[in-house]
Amino acid sequence: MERSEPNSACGWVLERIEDAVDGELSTIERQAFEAHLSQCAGCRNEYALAQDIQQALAALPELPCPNEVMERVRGRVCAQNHAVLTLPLNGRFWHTAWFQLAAAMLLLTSGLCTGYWLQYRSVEHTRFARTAPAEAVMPVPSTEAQTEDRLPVPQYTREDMKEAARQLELSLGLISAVGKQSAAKVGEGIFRIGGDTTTISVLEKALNKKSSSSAT
Amino acid sequence: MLDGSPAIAVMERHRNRVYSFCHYCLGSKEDAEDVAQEVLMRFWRNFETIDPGHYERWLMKVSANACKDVIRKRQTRRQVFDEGGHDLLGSRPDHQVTKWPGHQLAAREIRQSIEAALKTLNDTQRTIVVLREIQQKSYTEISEILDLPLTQVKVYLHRGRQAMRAVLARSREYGEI
Repeated sequence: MERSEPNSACGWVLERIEDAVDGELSTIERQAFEAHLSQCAGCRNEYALAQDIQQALAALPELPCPNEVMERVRGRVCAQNHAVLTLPLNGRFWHTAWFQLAAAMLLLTSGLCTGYWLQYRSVEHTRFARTAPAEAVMPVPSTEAQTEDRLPVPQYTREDMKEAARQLELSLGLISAVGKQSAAKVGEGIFRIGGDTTTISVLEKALNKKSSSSAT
Repeated sequence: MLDGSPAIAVMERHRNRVYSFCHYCLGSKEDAEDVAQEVLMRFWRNFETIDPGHYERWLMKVSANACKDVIRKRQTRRQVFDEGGHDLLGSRPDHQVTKWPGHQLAAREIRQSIEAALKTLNDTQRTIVVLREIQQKSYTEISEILDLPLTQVKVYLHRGRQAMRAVLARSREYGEI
């Protein structure tokens, strides 16, 4: 006789509707489940609904991704590829010790160049002022002439210029060596001892070694 | 230039699946397009680091998380503007669910009813139902995609199916009146 009112067996069946739909009931469970469904309209409807839903969901089509989406992705990929080609360094590079060292040395070099250039110009100007004929020199007010008398005129010997050039060469040599693995120890040395005379001597030694090897 | 790229080839192979999943989870074409685009871009950026045997799982996982983010933003927006949420997932009143009177309706209407019922689930239930019933994933795969214990996946799926049954049973009755 068919029942429509829920009874104690309905609870057991309703708990297993998911497993039944997934086909995960054992043979014995399946037999009991089907035996109950044959007698209970309520559970049968519930099971039918569960099956309908599962079939309807499974029948939902896989929706095609619009071409515009893929075109936008390709466009962004191209843009990023272009950026990578023109600037192959990622953001982390700018925080590396190598970059910081190179930047510091570049600044040092530019400062040295400017300083030595100004000093060189000052020496040339003084030499020109002393050797030029009186009529070629602009008339100087007496106050300025007195001031110039009070300030010591810088005197640079040939040795000073050589020393300046040597320091400049040191800086340039270090910068060119920054990207090379072989210069790693030198760079670390500078950070460690703060660029004192020991470091300079290390660099000088390295440079002399380099120049002697290139001479041979 | 990109046609020979292996990443693009994989993206082409899986893009429908990604978009489809996003569409069913979010219930919105525009949102699904945006999320699919972001997921594919993320895939391209991380292509080298993804295990070649798990491209699809990776895509589904990222898609599920991205959909979750969109749903969360919608809910926040709803709370801020108190718009009533008529277009928001999980907030659609039952009476707005399309009637589903048995097998008499055309396939299109049944599909609409199912999609509407799907929208009444909460986002985890819906994601799991979509993965299981539409994308035909196993419990283990769903567990891996969503980083959820297997038992929890089963519980969510059970509740999701129950909720859908309840909604569709009501609309069936409503349709029969």
